[in-house]
Amino acid sequence: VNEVRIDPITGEWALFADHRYDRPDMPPPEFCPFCPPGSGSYPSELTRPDYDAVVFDNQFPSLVAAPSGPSVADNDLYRVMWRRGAAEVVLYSSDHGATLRHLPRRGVRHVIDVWCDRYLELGSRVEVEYVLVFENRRASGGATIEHPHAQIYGYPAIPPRIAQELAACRAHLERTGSCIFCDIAVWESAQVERVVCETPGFLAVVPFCARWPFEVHVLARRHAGDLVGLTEPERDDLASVLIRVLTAYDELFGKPLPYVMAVHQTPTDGQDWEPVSHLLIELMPTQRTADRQKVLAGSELGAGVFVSEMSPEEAARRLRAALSDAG
Amino acid sequence: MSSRDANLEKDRWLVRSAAVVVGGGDAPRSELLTARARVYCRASTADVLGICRLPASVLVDVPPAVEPALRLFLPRLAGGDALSRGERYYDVRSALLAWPELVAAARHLAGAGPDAADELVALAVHENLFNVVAAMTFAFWESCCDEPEDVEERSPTLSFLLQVLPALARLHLARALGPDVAGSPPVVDWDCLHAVGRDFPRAWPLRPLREFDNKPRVLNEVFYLHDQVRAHWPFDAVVFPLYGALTLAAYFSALEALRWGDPNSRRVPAVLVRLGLYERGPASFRTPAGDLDVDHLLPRPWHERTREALSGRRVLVVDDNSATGRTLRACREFVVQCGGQPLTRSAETSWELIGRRSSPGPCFEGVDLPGLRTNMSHDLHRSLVALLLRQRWDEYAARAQRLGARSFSAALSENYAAARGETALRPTQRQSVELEFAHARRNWREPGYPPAPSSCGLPWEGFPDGVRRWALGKPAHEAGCAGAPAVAGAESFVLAAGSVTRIRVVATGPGRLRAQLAGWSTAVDLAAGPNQIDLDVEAPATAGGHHLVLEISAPAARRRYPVHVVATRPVPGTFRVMGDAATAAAVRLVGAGVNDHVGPLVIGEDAFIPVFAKQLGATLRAGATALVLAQGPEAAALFPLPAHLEPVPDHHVRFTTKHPALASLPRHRRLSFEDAAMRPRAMFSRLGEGPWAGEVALGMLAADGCGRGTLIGAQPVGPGRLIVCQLPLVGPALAGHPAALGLLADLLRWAGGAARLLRREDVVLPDGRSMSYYARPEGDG
Repeated sequence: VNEVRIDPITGEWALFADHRYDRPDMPPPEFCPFCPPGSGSYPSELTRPDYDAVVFDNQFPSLVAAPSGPSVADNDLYRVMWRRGAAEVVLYSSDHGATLRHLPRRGVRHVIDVWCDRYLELGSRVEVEYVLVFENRRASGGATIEHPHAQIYGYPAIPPRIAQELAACRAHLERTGSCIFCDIAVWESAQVERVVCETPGFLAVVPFCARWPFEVHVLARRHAGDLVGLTEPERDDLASVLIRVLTAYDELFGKPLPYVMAVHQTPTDGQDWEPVSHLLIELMPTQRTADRQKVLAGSELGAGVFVSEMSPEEAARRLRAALSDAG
Repeated sequence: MSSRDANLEKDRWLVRSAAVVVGGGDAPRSELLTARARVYCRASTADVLGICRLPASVLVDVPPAVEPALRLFLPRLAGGDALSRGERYYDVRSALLAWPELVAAARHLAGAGPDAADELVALAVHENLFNVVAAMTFAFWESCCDEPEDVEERSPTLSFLLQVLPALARLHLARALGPDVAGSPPVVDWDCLHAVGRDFPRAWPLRPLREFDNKPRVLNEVFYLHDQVRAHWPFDAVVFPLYGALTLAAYFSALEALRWGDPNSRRVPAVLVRLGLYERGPASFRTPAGDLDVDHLLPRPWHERTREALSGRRVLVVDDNSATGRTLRACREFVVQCGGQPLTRSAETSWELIGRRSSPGPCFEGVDLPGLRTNMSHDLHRSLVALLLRQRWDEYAARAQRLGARSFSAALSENYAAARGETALRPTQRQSVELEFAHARRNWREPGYPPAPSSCGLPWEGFPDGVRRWALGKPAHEAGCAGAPAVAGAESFVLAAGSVTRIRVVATGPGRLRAQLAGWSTAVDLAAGPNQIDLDVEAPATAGGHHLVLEISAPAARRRYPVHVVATRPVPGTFRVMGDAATAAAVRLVGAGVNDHVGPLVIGEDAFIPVFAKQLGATLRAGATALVLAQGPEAAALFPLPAHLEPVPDHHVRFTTKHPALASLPRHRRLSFEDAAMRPRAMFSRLGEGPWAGEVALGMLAADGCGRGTLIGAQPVGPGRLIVCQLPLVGPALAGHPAALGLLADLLRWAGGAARLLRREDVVLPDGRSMSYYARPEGDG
């Protein structure tokens, strides 16, 4: 199986790459393939003993530049895409125990600059029409290796959720003449109750319709579609906001909180998305209490309705308190 | 399944396919191979035979193992500065006299990697070798059929040649499409191949090259089979009637191997049958009982194999061209004899012949899928080649130019219109023509043998990915742009979002003209004779690519003109503008502030004087960004890095990359500036280390690959960043030119973005994966 299949009813995608069965799953630190060579008995994927940040092609890629053909033919009913694109790993630090939160601010800023460079690099490829930077933290956040890292996927088309987001932005633009995320940033900043933290350039809020407990959206206050469009001070601001949100997460239950982080940026398909594309970083923790995981169940999976026992306003209050406790 | 049922099923398929096209959906899969082939096919100009002119400079630094073959196979043209195909390309017998040199060159290039010689040289050597091997293959095939007593002795050689031919096609494709998609090179037993040519019986007849063997043309057809025909009618085997379709068969097999990543893939067998000869018709192979004489179609050891390959399968028969349809009809019979279910396809069709017929004849009985290409008659081809071989260059050039005067698009449109009006075609055939036309409009090009872009130092992604689909030709036949701003990519109109622009359309009536652009449309009645109509076209509010569609009802014709819509949005921030007041005014016009002390530095057009050089250096040393607008060649010495500005040569093409900073320009496209208001006067043939800036947004490349430069790009200078733009923007922007306003706004936004540049070092891991180490900027702790 070696393709992207498109659901004829919902338009959702399912990516099949059976070679990923063999990838490592949470090896202990001494067997970490992302630690520099010489730090353990296990062979490292790296070639140097130290680095600030490093990016490399995923050894078990979901998407590749030149895939072999799909196992099934597509037709009018069932659409199939080749799983062409890119899949990369971004290591933040050579220190196995480091996390994004624990990097110095200039270190996080460096990671943001690296994300920018990869966005430009992958986005310029013919086969990549959308670049998604994401981080899965800890096993319940989807990570299979503990070493601090993010991943970048270059998709061959705009993924359905992003397309839905852009369509909503365009509808709002046509109805009101303004960007919906710009409007949200102004509204939330004025209402305060869902704000976790803010800087002159960015705003971190628990979204009005949060799906996950303690979900946070980091929004650019200015209408910038991607990380590349940020100014120097804005990138520094973003680094600060990310550190503060992650600090709040880790202080919330007194232990590292698993999460999934996804960076939504302008598609790289050559169309002009500028009016409707607004930089958004989604952070979705997968724990609802200190020891209980948020599990997607009947309502979420069967009907797409997320059920939560805590209001976004209360979640924001707790995150602010956690941040305050952390000093 | 009875033949009637089979025909009904095919008809259903054709109707379904046509319905898909009419519905506008179901674009062909656009995976990497297709994209690369498109780039490969588009990147060249050639004459009617697909002959290119190679610059003599490709001979510089040619490896010693290759040089003798080049001397023999690529003779210099009369002027001495260009090379072309010569006698040995068309006359295989004379090519065999230089066989050792040719094999030695190909063997060296196959084993030496992509940097061993100029790409053009490598492609030429591989192509010549392929042609000779194809001719030898057919000669062995004929001998095995006509002299069955020797078949045991000769069939091993024939088997070897039939294996080598797709391998050579793969070698050629690896050069043309890039080694990353071609995978590991195929294994060729060069010693054995050399021996076959050396011992080839000199008395045997050898067929000359066919006009259809122009490789980009072959690739277009093979991709059409893969992307369109197979998508709707999943065939299990393909029959290629010799001799004409032999090249098609080899490239089909090679591409099949690339698609599946398996050099030995036999998922869809390509079956050769000796039908459709160059000089004799398929009737030569009829038995008295009326059946096809299999002994003469296939060498004896192939009989059972072929029957097994076709029995019970859906078989596509593909011939290179169809004039009377007899070959395809005979192939259809042969497939049925073998128990298969046939569908036939001609890559070229003699539309002229159809038009001359007074009543519907049998021409298309055997052709389910007639091609939209025009069939060039063999006589015409032979006479052109004869002129070449006699070195009557001028006569050849004049005739080739006359024959090739119409663009591929124009020829295609004419054939399409002819097909739609052709009463001899069945409705399903007409629908298949619609399908092919839709595909051609999206994907096909009619180039010749191209220079290979990969030798030019930029990644593939930086190269022109689109040329104008419809040439803007003479105004009597085309839409023209009246009163609209001149164009920044002349392949499209550039319009401001939401604006109304008057477009002049010339059309011949009587009939009705319908025009549509995004949500806007109008219809006008045409009087008899030529009409000149001014349409007030409303540009959509959505920026990006659109199409203006013009349709005329009688005779039915449709043309699409790319329209690029630019939206100018205010630029935030302030800029230090140095230079004339006009530059400052243009900066203010796009919404930015102008200040003497704060913000990124902007040096105005033609205003770079020594006193500003000092401030530019200081700005960059401080880690900030500077934007230098278009300057003349004399300003090159003032840049704080090695720079050379030279006049823009006419024969260079301009291309954009996918750089996200310039949303106003069409991305990844080849641009034309011939009729634009923003014609660059000079380009950076050097900026820092070489002709390409660190980030190229708009570049130039000589058509022959021997010249390149940057028009818009960014280059790190110490801790700072220098952005340069050699398009004159200020004047057109002040005049309200939407593309100039949009570009200026983009550049200012780019300059206002973060300047910090990373230090990055790329390495390749032993398993072929790439890895990039990023170091923090200097002074960042």
